[in-house]
Amino acid sequence: MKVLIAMLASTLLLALAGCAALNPHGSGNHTGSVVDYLYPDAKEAPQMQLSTTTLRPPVRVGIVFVPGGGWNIGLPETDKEKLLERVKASFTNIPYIGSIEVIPSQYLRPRGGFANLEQVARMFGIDIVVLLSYDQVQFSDSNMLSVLYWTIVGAYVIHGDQYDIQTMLDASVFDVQSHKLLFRAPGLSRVKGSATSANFSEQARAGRLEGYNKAMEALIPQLHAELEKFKARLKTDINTKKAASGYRIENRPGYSGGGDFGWLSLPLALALGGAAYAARRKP
Amino acid sequence: MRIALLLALVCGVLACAAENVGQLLALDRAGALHGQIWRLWTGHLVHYSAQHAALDITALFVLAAIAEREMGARATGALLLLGAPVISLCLLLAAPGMLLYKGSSALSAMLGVAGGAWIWRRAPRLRAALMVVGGVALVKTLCDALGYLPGFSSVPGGVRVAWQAHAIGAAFALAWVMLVKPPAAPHAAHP
Repeated sequence: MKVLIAMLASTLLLALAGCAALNPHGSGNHTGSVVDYLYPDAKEAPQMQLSTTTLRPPVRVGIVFVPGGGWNIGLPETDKEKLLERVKASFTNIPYIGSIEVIPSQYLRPRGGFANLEQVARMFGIDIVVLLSYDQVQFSDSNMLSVLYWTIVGAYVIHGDQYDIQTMLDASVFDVQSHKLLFRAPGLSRVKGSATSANFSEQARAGRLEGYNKAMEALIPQLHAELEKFKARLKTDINTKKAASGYRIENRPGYSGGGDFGWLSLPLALALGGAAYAARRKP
Repeated sequence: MRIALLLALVCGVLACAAENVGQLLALDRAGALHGQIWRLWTGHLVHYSAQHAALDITALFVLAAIAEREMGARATGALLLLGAPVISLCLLLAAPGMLLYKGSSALSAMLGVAGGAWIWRRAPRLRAALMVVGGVALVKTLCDALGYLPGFSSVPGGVRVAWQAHAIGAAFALAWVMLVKPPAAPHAAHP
């Protein structure tokens, strides 16, 4: 009898432990750092180089998420592309930006450094690259309602688990040739929610995506504002001919041509039309 | 009239299309030289702005209708299909600094010269009037080449008038008229 009771007790204990193991508590994070990507083996700070950055408008820009480190499962590539397309759409009508290329993350090697960045820039024909680094932390906890999970049915109807997802996106704009950081802008978001034990991972995944979307919403106006500041700074520096500014603007060789005869095309076409009409009449 | 209507319709639809459609179809030097050969034809069908499109499409419609009536639909279609890539290729050679080209006025110049040459042959009494029209077009092209009359154009600021395209289109039309025999029987004259 004692053996039977002991077996029942251990079975119950294992079952309860199993239920408890279903609850994802603690925290997890997804990170892709621009410093890890560009300076993978740096033991010291990179040396300051007094080179001049030459900007040739209309500039060709590439935009890409930096590769994440380790085995963490970050944002799927399709979602990354959608986010990048939003940035691209918000910058399409700026005259000094010639084109914006959305670059898939697979083209960047983890810890690839500037050598990898230059390869990609040559491949896509870009002068300037926007590197998006990200850091998303998810905290998961149980609330008081989780006690009802013991009823088994509770695990499917009671929102006893909650998540708190904090996301930071950071856009660093680099001139590829001179390796100079032109400007940067951050975007932050915080998403909170709760879910049942049964669909916690699905809800949390949706929350993580929402976190990226909200951070991107915050990032785009910041990026516009920083671009305007950079433009004003550039103008002031170049107008006052500050040698130390380190920037030079050059017109790209070549020009755009338009097939156009102006307003004169209409009277000329009508005159020819009149001649064609007159040619059909007897003299 | 069918070709004139079709050309005007296609250009009109493309003028209303999204900006990236225009980028995909414009005569982009790098793209054309890297195998995007459709640009040799489509570069003549897209425009920089609504005003540019409106003027170019109106002139193209009138001149294509004249050419079609004078030469017939088949000859006009053949002239357009052959002339468009020839103009584009010659433009790439003649203006190596031109990275992008949009506009249908080179086709207009080609059709206008072809139609005018046909009238020249058929109605010698109108040659003086045709010479005036041709002379004005020639002077305008020279002014564009020398950089005069910059405010006379409908292309947006920063875009240069591609006068070379007009000259190539006119030259190709003259060669075409010399090589192609005129229709056996001219259209019935109006009473």
